[in-house]
Amino acid sequence: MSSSEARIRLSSPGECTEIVVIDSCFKTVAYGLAEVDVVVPAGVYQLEFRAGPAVERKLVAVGPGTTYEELHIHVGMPSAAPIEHTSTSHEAHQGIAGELSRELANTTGSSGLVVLVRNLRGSESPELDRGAIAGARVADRDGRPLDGSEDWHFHDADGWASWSATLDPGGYVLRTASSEELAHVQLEQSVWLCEGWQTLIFVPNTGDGPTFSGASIHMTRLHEAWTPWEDTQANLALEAALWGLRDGRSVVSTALVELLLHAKHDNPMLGIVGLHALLLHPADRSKRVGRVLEALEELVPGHPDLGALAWLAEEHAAARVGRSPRPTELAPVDWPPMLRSGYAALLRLDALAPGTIVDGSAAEGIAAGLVARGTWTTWRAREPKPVHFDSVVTDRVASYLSSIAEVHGISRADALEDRADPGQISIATDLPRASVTRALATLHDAESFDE
Amino acid sequence: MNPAHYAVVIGINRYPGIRDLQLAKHDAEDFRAWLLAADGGGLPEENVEVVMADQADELGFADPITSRPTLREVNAALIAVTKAVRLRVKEQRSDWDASRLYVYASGHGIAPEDGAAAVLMADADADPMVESYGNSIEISKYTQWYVGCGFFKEVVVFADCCRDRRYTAPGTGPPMARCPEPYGPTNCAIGFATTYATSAYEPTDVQDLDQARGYFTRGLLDGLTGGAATATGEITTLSLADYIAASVQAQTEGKPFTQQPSMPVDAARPIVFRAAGTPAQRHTRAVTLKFPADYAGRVSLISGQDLSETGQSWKAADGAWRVELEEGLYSVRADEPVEGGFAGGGLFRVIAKDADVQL
Repeated sequence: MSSSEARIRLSSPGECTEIVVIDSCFKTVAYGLAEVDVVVPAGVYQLEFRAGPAVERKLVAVGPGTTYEELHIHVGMPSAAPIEHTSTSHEAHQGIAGELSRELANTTGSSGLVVLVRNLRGSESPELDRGAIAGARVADRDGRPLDGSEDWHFHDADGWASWSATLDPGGYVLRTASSEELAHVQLEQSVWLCEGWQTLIFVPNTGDGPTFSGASIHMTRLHEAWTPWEDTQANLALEAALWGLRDGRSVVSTALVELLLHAKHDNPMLGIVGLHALLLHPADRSKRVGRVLEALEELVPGHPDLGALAWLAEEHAAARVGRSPRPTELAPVDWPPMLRSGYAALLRLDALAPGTIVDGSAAEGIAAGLVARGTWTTWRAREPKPVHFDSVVTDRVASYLSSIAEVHGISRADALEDRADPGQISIATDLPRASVTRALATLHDAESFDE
Repeated sequence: MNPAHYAVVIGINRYPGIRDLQLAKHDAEDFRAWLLAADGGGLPEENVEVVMADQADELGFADPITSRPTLREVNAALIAVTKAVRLRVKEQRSDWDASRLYVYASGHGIAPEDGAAAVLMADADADPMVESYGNSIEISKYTQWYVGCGFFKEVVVFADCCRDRRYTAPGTGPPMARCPEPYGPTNCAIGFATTYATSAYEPTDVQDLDQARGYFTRGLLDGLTGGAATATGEITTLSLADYIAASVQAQTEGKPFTQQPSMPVDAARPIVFRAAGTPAQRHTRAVTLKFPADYAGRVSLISGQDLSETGQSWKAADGAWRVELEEGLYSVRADEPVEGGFAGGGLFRVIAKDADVQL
C-alpha cells in the first residue's frame, strides 16, 4: 500500500453477506461473499451489504495510509429454513425440524421427506391457515395423494405445521393450493427423493398463507439428522444462492465454490443450487462445474436435476466459444427436475435430442401446465380435475405456426406443411419434442387449420 | 460512425387491455436519439428500426385486438436488421467483427411461466376472461436465437419493463428457423430494469412529460452519455451496469417501491460503448447543502475521488449552499468544530437528480 492509498477490510464472519465497495465514479472496486480486503486510492466509498433481500448502504471516507475496518457486519438474511445466523430463525422451529429429521434417521426406510411450514421470526406471525396447509398433500408420481398425507401436525403457539414420512426414492409431487392468481386451481411441485437421503422442505407462512414458492429445500444423509446449528456456512451459502436464483442473480463466490466441492457430501442440494447459481453468470466456470457435477453424480445418481445441469453447462460453454451446444449422452428423464431452470434446460435438450424426455412421462406431460412460481418446477395439478394439456399444447403450437406464417407471408396451412420444424417449435414454445410432434399431427388432421 | 451496428427500438404507451403508460415512447425516442448521435451509438439512421405507434393512431385504439404495435411488427423489424447484417457480412466478412445489434424495449412486461422477461405488445389483454399476455417478446428466447445463429458479434438488449410473474402466460421464441451452427461467437448482454418477479416503474409525479423518463432508461441514458465513464473516459457494459444500479437506487430511494436493475456482465468480455481516451464528461446536478442551525462556520468541499480540496468553500452563516456538482461522492469538511458532527459524517452522494443534503 502506497502512501496515497488506503485499505478497506470488511467481513461478516459466519455469514453469507454480499459485500460491495463502490468508488466515487460508482464503479464496483471490490465484491465478496462474507469478506473483502482491498487496497484503494484514498477517497470516499459507498459500502453495500446485502443478504437476500435485505440491503444496507453507507458512505465512508478513507484517508491516505489508513485502514477502514468493519469486521462484524451483520445483515440479517431472511430464510425459510430455520438456520443459525438468519434473521428469521426460531429455536422451536429448529427443534422440531431436528426432531423430525432424527425420527427419519432412526427408521429403516430408504429415503425420507420432511415438510415444515413455519412463521418467520420478525414477521407478523399470521395464524396458521389449517385449511391451506392441510390441503398441501404429498402425492405419488401420478398425483395421487399418499395415505396419511393429510396428517399434518400443528403447533399454533410456536407457529409451525409439519408432515414427514419415510418413502421410497423417486419422484413425488407436493400438491398445494394456489395463490389468488390461480383461484381454485391446485398446483403440483416436483420433489425428487434420493436413496439414502432425507429431503427437508421449509415453507414460510405469510399473510397469504403457506408460500411454497418461497420454500428452501435442504438435504441430509438419511441416517444423520439435520442440524441447523451445524454446517452453518454451508446452509447459509445455500440460502444466499437461493435468494440469488429468485432474483435471477448469481450469488456465488470463489470461497463458496470451494465449499460446494466439499460440502456436497452433507447436502447435495447445496451442490445443485450452487451449480445453477454458477451457471447464471456469463463468466467461464466450466472446470468447477464439471468437478462438482462428477461428485454429485456419485452422491445422488439419477437425480433429474443433474442431467439438466450438465446440459446447462454445455450450453454455457458453447455460447462462450460460438458453437452450437452438442447434445450429450443422457439417460432419458421421466421426472421433471426440481428447479425450474433445470426443467427449461431439459426441454431445450429434448428439442435437439428427441427422447431425452420420455414420451408419455410426467416430465413430458407437465410442460404445457407449467406455472411461474419461483425457483421450483411447478405446474397445474393433474388430479382431481385433469387439465387437458394436449389442447393447450396444440393451441400453443398453432399460435407459433401463425407467427411463422406471418413472417413469411404464407398461409398457416403452408407453414404447417413446409416450415414446421419440430425442433424449432419445441425450443420456441418450451414444449417437449414428443408433444410438438403430436400437436403437429393433430393440426395436420384438423380440417380447418387455415381458418 | 458504426455502419455495422443495427437496432430495433420498441416503445409502447397505449395498452387498452392493461393500463396506459406515459413515458415508454419518450424513453424509446430518447434511446433512438442516442443511437443516432455521432458521439453516442453512431448508427446510420437506416440501420435503426423503430416499432412504435403514432400518437394519432394510438387515440384510435379502443380495444386490444386492434391495437399496435404487435409482435408481428417487432419480428419484421428484427428480421430486417438481421437480413441487413447478413448481406453486409456476406460482402465483407470482416464486418462481422464490428457488428452489433441493439434491442431496446420500453413498455409493459411480465416474467412468463417459462422465461426471464417478456415485453408485452399493445394487443396484450389482462382481462381475466381473456388473459392473452402471450403476445410478447420473451427476451431470453430471442437472445438465445441470436446467440445460436451468431449473425452479430455483439447483442445488447435493454428492457425497461416489469418482470412480474404471470403464472400461466408462456413466453414464445422468435418465428425464425434455428441455425445448425452459429456464424460466430456472439457476446450478449442484457439489461433488465428490475430483478426477476418484480416491477419496474416510471415516475407518477410528472410535471414535465418531455423531461420525465422511466427510472431505468434515465439511468441508462445518463450512463451512456457520460455518467458511466471511467477515469479513462471508457464506457462499457461493466461501468454501465454499475452506474445504472446506483442511478436507479438513487431515483427510487424513499419511494413506496424501490427498484433494482439487473444486468449481469462477463468481466472478461465487456462490450464497449465508448472507447477510452474520449474525455469524460460527467453530468452535473444542482445540490443544496443545508447546515445544522447551530453551525455558522466555514466549510470546504472535498472530492470523493481522492479526498483533495475542490477549492470550493462556503460560510454556513450565509444559509444553504447551492452548488452545481459533477456526479460522484463528496465530503464536506467543517473548518470549525461542529456540535455532534455533520449528519452522515459530512459525506454525500450526487447522482441522477438534484440533491438536498442535510448535514
